[in-house]
Amino acid sequence: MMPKEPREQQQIDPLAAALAWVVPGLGHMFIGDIRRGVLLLVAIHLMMLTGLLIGGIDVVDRKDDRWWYLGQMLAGPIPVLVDRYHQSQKVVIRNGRTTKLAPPPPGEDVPFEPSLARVNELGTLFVTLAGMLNLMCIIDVVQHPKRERRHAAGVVGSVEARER
Amino acid sequence: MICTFLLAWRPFLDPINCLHDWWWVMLVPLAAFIAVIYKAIRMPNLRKLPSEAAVLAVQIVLGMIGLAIVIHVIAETATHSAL
Repeated sequence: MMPKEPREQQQIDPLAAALAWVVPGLGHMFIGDIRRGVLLLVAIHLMMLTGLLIGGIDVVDRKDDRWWYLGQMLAGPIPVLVDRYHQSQKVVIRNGRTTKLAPPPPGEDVPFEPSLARVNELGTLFVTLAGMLNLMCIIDVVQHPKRERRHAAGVVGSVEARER
Repeated sequence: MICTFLLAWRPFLDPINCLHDWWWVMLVPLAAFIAVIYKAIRMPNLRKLPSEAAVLAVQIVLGMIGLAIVIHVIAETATHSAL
C-alpha cells in the first residue's frame, strides 16, 4: 500500500482577493507581482471601458440583464456604480409585463440613448468578459502562495510546460 | 467612415451605433484583450507575453471563424433539407 502524501495546506489571502476585486490587478501588486498587476489593471480596465464606450451605460443593467450583471460585477465596483447611475437615470413605463423607457420631460435631453442589437451585445460581452477574467485574477491571487510552493517543489511541472 | 451621429454622441452614455454593420471588427480587440489577460495570469515569466498573446488572439479569431463556417453550413443544410 502506498503511503499517503501529506495534504498540502492552502494559504488563502482574503485581503489580496478583496483588493483584486476592488481594483483589478491590485491583488497581484499586493503580493509583490507589480509588473503583472499593472498589466492586468490596465488591460481589464481598458476592456471594461471599451465595452462601455461601444454600448454606453445601457450595457450594465441589473434589472433587465441580471445574469450578465452577475459576471460584470466581478470586474470591481465600477460596473456596480455604472449600474447605480443607469438605474437612477432610467425612467420606465410599465404596461403589464412589458416596460419601455419614458420620454424625457419637454425641453430636456434624454439622459442616455438605449443601446440595441449587436452594439448592446458587444458592449455587454466586453464588460462581462472583463469581469470573468478578473475572477481568474482573484483565483490566481488567492492560490498564489500555494502555486509558488508547488512550483518550487516541482509538483506542477517545469516553467516551460506551464508557459504552454 | 464618418458617422453623422457622432456629432451628438456622448461617450459612455450613448452607444456607437455605426458599429451595427461593423460589429465583427470588434471581435479582434475582444480576442486581443482575452489573450493578453489570460496569458498575463498564466505565464510565470512575462518576457514572452506579446508573442504568446498574439498567437492566442489569432487562434481565438480563427476558431471563431471556423465555428461560424460550421454553423453556417449546418444552417444552410438544414434550410435546404427542410424545403
